[in-house]
Amino acid sequence: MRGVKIRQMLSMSMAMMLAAGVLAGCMTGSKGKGTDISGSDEDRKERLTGEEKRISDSTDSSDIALGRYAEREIGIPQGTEEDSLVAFFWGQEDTLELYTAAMEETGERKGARRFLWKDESWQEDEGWWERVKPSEPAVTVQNVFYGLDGNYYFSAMSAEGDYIYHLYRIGPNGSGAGDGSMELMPEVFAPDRQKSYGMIPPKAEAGADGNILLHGFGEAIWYRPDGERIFAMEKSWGGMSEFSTGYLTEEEFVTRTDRGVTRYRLADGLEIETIPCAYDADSGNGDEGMVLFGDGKGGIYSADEHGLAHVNAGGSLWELVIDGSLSTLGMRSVFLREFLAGDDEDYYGAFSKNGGRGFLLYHYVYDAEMSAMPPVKLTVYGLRDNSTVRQAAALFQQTHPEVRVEILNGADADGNISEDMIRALNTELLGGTGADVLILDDLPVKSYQEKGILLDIRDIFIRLQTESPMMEQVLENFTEKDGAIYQMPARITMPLAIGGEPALRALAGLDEMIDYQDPVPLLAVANYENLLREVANLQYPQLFGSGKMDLPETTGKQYLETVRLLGEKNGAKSMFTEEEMERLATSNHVVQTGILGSATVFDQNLSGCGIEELRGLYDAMILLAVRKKHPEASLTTVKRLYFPRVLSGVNQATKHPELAKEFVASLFSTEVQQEEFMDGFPVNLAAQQLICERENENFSIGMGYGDYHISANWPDRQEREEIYGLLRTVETPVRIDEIVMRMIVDGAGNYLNGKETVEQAVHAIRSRISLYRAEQE
Amino acid sequence: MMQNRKRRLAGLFLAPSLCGVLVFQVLPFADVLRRSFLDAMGRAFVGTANYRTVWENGAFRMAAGNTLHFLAAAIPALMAGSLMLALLVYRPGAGQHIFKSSLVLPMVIPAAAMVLVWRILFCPDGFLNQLMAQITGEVWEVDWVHKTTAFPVLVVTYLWKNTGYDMLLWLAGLNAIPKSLYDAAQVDGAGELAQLYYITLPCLRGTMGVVLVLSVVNSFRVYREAYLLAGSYPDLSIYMIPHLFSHWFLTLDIQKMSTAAVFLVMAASVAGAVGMYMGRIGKWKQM
Amino acid sequence: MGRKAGKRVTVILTAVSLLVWLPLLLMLAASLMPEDELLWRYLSPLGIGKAPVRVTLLPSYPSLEAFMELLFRSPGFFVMFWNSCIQTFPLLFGQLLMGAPAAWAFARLPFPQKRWLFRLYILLMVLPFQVMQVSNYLVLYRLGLLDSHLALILPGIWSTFPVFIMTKSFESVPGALLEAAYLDGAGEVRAFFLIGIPTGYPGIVTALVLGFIDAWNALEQPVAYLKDVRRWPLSLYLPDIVQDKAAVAFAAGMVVMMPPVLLYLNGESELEQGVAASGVKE
Repeated sequence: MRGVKIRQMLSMSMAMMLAAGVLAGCMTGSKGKGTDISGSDEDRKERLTGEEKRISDSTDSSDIALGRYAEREIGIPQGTEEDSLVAFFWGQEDTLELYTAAMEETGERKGARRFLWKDESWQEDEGWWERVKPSEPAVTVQNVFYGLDGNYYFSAMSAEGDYIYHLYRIGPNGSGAGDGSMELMPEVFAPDRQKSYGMIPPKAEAGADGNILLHGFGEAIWYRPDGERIFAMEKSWGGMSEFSTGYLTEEEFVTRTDRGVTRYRLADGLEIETIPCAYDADSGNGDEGMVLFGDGKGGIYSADEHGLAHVNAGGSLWELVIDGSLSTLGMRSVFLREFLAGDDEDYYGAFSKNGGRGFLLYHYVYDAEMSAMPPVKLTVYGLRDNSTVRQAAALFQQTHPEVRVEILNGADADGNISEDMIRALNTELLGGTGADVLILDDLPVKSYQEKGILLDIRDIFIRLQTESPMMEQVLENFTEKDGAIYQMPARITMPLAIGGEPALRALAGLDEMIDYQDPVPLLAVANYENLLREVANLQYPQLFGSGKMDLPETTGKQYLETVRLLGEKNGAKSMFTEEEMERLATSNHVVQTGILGSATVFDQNLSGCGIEELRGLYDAMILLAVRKKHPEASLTTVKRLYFPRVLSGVNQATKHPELAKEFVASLFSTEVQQEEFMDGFPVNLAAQQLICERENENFSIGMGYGDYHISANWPDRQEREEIYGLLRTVETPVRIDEIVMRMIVDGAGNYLNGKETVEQAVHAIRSRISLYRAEQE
Repeated sequence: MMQNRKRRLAGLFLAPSLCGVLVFQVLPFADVLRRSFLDAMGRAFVGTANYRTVWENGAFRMAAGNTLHFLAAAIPALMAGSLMLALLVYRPGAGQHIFKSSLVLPMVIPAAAMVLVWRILFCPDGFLNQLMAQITGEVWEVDWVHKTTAFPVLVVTYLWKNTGYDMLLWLAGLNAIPKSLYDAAQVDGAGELAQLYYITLPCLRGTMGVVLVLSVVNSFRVYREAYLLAGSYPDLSIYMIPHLFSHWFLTLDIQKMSTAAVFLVMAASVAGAVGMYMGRIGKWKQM
Repeated sequence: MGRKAGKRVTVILTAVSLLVWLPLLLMLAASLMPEDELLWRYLSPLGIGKAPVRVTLLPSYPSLEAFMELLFRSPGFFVMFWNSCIQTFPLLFGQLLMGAPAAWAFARLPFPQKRWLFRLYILLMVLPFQVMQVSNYLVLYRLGLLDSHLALILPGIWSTFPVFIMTKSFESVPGALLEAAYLDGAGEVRAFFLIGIPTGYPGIVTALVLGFIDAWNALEQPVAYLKDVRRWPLSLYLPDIVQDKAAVAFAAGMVVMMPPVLLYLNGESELEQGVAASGVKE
């Protein structure tokens, strides 16, 4: 009897806990909507929205729905084509205002121009800068804004001396009174002790009462105009120096926090509520470039690459207004700067172009006649999100208005991939369905090819080679013996090594690596898994040159011994502690190629050579800076190896073979290839040339740890030519079967930490590899 | 006539289930059967080539052998253990409910969470090694799940998870035994053991078939844990049919999977037939 | 028998239960640990470092942080919870509706080829999911059910497993009871409802409980047939085992197992009542 009671109590209490949790979940999710569980269930589903779903929801319906926002470009004022966008907002008397500035080579913007949208064109407010600019000191313009208090403001940075932020009030007349502007709370921005710079907010706003909100990097601070701090409100880390998400209304501050979109009450700075973001923060490009703005009725708009979404006051159900993938919002080559609501259910968007030079303005108007969705759907599947593919998709839709390109990614929100995802894809492929275009990175390409999943797409490349040729050797590497082409990398990366002559020579083979006697270790310290991967990739021709994923006994032994020797010399471990990671500037994080980037290690003379996997010129910066410090060192490819990326193929079961091929071709077009997305170098020769010619002088980076610091500038013309010269010499694609690599890593562990002999380890690895091969027989 | 009515009624009772089963089970199975005679993409008829390939495939033989080995090691232990527990739990007495409830818990724990616990116990720095070190006074750093010890570890996790499940099945069988039989036996002065031998066990013969079949079915699900614990290419001693199927799926070798599945069905049928034959002998003896 | 034997039984059962409980308590303790303690104790098993584990059943600084995180700050968790409910309960209902009459037919009614049909049911039960994955996919694809809850529910309803269990249980319904019913003038349908269901109750409940556990813990099917993560069930909730989420994984384990436990605890007493009501005790 007692037993029964206890059980019931137990189950009762558990049920209550669970119910409490469910209820609480509902409450946080949909305040003000009551506790209708099914309703809040919908809310919650909505927040998990992957863009995929919304789209297929609407394509499921067989009749073609009409009505969607059309995107129309607004001309920009003449002579501002190369200018950078300073500000774009609704000013006095509901006039659209645009501020632009010429950007100098140094990145400075000495002065700006003001334009007003009148009679369907931009009218310049001549002499505006002369009227509003401060007499002292010389400044470079950062931003202009119209406060809720009816005053115009602008912010600027000192052009000379210390790097100091200034905030000026122009006054209620945006055109300026002619006697300059009043500087506000300079003491807030004064340099800290012993520093040459003070607080530099990426964005400032003015409230209805004239108070100033300064966006910081983890918080936004509310100031009285006299500089007295009132309180701070948490916001998410912006990471950009000239961009911050959030907006003020009369009574509220709405911003992005790590938990979602948060509304704060300006009376006391307390949080009113946090609603989930319209999209998973981790999907796609994250929350970078998310613009939030109000609808004037308490509701919130959120614009980012997924599109424009709207949520009503008090709700948490986002409604998609403009589909990002069907507009410039979804493009990766431009950066969303501002999005505004018009007064007739129309919208305006402002985007800046590469490096801030040039910008685009668009007007979004509802077109009831336009089909809500283009009639033809082309799906592109890749395990991971990829910018080149997104860019190509956006451009493809512009040239093919009847097609909508749907991009599907297998990886979860954290970018992890699992065998289950591949199995799900295989299920579709075997069932004769599946995406039209396949991005094959990390998929079992070999099996796909053997089983006839992939279409022969040689005709694309025959045509492309005459129109806009790509690297001949890459084309050759991926052409089958019979001339067929099933897959082609749209991007490639290459390992580059920097070091003295003896060290670089030692990279030639396993023998040479073992023979390298210098007291300084040949390779930088890394955990054993990365070291195993690095050596396997660098010695790919010797280990897997036959193309078969086999590991002959003697080679295998030599390989493991080499790794152990290198590891003993550079202090490798299977797993580092926090303290070691900090001291050695290394990480337990495993990268697939094992190449962690060790130019800086070489720079400190801690390794004989430094090796970096270059995905673009950006990655070459540190490497080139290191070389400047080491005249004796030279820069080479590693045995002309390269890594194919963005491997593209077409599913043979596609219903639109011609369109799918055309899309693949567009991935290789100069237009798409010339964009740099850090996912690899272009293979298109004309695009390579364009990138070599492109200047980006004001771009520099710095990095450091402990006492070490290095800064680097964008490569100059000669350096760019050099890097691309090296790129054109690569000829051997490295393609290690990840399954085999895992077997090696798993099997080598006990040998590397001394618990097994090398024979045992090689035996363990080989027995698994032969099992793997036996499965395929 | 009565018979005819009953037949029609049987049709009525059976139809809803049968229709669904035809669509969602038989149809796919027929497709599997068809695929075993086709190439990977299901486009060309290849005769019995797949059967030869799979039968001669080294990986298949190894996986089948290991699976049999696993079944032979785990299932008798599982069935005996769960039956014993069911008998103990079935006895009226205080506190029995608690035991019954707690023994059922393991099967409702998601594998992903459970694997963490197994790692705490079995990893080289884990609890089991510490325990062994305490007992022997030596340093233990055995990597239990990546060596040949993976096999017993897997058997233990399988038993841990499935004993409660099987116990439930036994209990359902026990519940169905008419109490009157025991009362009669008691009147006849039969002891507890005698009742067990002459009443309980014979009456559970039907249940035994159920438990056996389900234990085998569930043994395929041990893959989830094995995979999470030891990866997709584990120690060769625990490389089993589900591993192979999983890999074939990744490489789109569905024709091989289908063929192997047909082998599996054949093996199951043979085992079933043998079991039935033996059961019939038993029944006859019982009469 | 008497007291002594009863005590011995209790001792044995306690020992076995401890074997079951200890790993569970380990998990419970881990789910109640603050992050730093969890990392300090279980760095190695979590795969983010190397240090001897420090096993305990009592966290030094118990904290509900992980549960709070899960229940209050992971809305995704609740979507999945509801999905699990949507996918599980209709499935069970369908299994009962379709399976019980079929099982009665198999157990009690004569029809041609009954044996072979039943054997077919058993065979279909034995097939591992992977084998049927693609073929099942094709069926669902043709029916247009992919990426909907029905993709899991419908095949689940016609799983042959509950039929099998229920048949076995109906077979043990005493013939005498049925004879009596027929003598009273009951037809087959009435016999099924009046005798079959009450008497076969334990089997039905067992089938449902086991069916629930299977459906609740389904892993392969949702991954294969639901592309839309918004329809994924709780069983796929797998927080990344990273530093700041490790305890949540344990907490999720505890929460996920709760509904089946609740159901079982209640279903089990139902089961007993059912047995008592069936009057077999006589």
